[in-house]
Amino acid sequence: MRRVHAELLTLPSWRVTAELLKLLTLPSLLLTAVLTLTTAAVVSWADAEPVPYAQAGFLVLGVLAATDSPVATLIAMPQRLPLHAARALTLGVLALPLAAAAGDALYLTCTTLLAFGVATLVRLPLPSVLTLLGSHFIACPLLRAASTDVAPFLPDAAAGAPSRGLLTTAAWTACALTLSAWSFTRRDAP
Amino acid sequence: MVSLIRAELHKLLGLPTARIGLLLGTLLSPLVVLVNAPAVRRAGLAGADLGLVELGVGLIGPMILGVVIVSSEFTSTGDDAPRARQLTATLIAVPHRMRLLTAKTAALVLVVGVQAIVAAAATIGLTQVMHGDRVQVPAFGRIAAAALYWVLLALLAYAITLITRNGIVPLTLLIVNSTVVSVSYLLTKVTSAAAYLPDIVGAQMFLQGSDFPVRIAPVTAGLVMTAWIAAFLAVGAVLFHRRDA
Amino acid sequence: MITVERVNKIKGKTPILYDVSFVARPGRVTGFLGPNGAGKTSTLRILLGLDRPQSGVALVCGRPYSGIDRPLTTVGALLDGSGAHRARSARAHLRWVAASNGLPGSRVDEVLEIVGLAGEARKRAGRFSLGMSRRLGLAAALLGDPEVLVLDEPVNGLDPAGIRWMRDFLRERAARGHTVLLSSHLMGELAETADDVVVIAKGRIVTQGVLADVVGDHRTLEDAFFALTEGGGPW
Repeated sequence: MRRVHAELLTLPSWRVTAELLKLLTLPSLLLTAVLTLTTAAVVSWADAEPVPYAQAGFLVLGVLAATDSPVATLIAMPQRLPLHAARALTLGVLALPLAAAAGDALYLTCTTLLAFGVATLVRLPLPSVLTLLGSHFIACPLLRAASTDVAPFLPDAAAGAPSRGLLTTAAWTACALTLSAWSFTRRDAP
Repeated sequence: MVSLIRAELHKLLGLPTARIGLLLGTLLSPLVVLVNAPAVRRAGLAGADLGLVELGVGLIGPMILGVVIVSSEFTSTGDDAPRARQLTATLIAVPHRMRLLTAKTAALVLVVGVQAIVAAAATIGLTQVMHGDRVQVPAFGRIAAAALYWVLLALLAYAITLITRNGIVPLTLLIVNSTVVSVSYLLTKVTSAAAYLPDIVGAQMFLQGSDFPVRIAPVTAGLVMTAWIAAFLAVGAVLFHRRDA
Repeated sequence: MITVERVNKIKGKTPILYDVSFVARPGRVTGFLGPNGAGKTSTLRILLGLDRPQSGVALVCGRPYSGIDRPLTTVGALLDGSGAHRARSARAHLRWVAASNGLPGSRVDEVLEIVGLAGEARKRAGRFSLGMSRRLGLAAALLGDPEVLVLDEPVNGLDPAGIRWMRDFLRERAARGHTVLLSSHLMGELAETADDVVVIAKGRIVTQGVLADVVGDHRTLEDAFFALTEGGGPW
């Protein structure tokens, strides 16, 4: 346990800087950000709530960040727990202003980090995107329609009711990040 | 040509992601009929579209199949060789690109066609079992049109992926657009011209609900959607023919 | 027989091949030699119809590669990696390749045996080592028992035993009258294997001919190569 603490204390700047450079120079990430904000703008213009649409872009953002060159990164920064924390932190910092622009800073940032966690577990980009879109766009709406009792416990609970649902969404995100940290430190590199 | 199509079928059905698409597409719609049955009964719904609407959920299957049959060619086969992709092996085996595309298209149409028929039969059959006392079996023509919609949507996913050469963009776009938060559907609220967007217009081939801003006859709807797909396919094919592998 | 005539290629705005012309004859191993980035792979990709040149032609047995029916029965090619999707087993990969050229499924096990992968047939390609990937790629190239072989850096990633095996294998193919074209930046290795040499540098063919003639008065092929590419080159 003490070692874990020591590792986390070494989190600081250079790891975050490296991650920031990596994410900002990833063309697919920039493209996704632009497409997401454009969609959000079009949806707002059409007089609808942008968040349920824009969350797709944030899910993809999290997946792209998680699946980008993990092996090269591990060779450069072999201490996995601080690396994982730095990656999540950097992604969160980057996603926050985008999320605010798209309509819901907290929920969409949480969703990005949830996607990051899930994609770190799944490891392959396409199946990760499939899992996440499947859950947020197909499974959750179906479950909500089938039974109103489960609605407050779904990962996208905060999309509809920000005040009450945020706790649920944050819990799902924390869960995904913890599980992914465990898997990222234990498993062989992909 | 037969051997080319066989090879493409081997390739497609050997991909784990394609198998997921096959499974989801076939099982999801019947499953939704089962899960929703109590709610539908309680609400006393008995529209002419019952069963056919549920079939829409399974569309994720054809979308996945249409995307991965192309995107699997472009995913890197290893970190040690960034240019190494399955496409290299494919084009070395079948250098004539238009013949390759024809075989790929045929394989996709075959797989999705069979999937659509099985899914439609299961979904409509199950709807009869659950709600047979209040709902009639839709006309055969409408069921066939729904199956055609599946094949055309798979081809749309396929054509877009040929253009983007990456599966994530078309998959996201199409999955989101097939749900309640469809951007195409939203646009129909703003302008009635959006009724002619490929996914919206195609649904009028078999759905009769009153949600459409412009009523379009089923045959016209089918022709408009086919024209869209043909245009996308043409662009995809020209790019595939021209671009370096 | 492989004939490349006045091939020019521009990628984006950068010219990468200038009037590349050479031949590879049946019954001989032709080594395509040049440093990294000289244009070896680009030339081979054009020869195999993967990339398109701005001008010039590249022919295999007098025809462009994309005009050959069931091409694997004429040409076997090995480029970067194995070309197998990570999620597919070695056998599943070879099975679709064989099917695409109307080859019997029994060939799959034969070529797996030839390249020494029979025991790994069910393993996923994504889990292969570099050397195993190369072997799998070679297995695909041999499926149609072709009379022409085009190999890009074939010994890359092979262990010493594998390199020796590859050398003997290629020599034996040439002895049977087949055409073998292989690219390499390893001069010592090439000098052991090749009958003829084509030297490329910065997108231009510097010299070509029988190995002994290219080496000329120099002590080794390596000396000849540096004299050719650093001394009075054409640029």
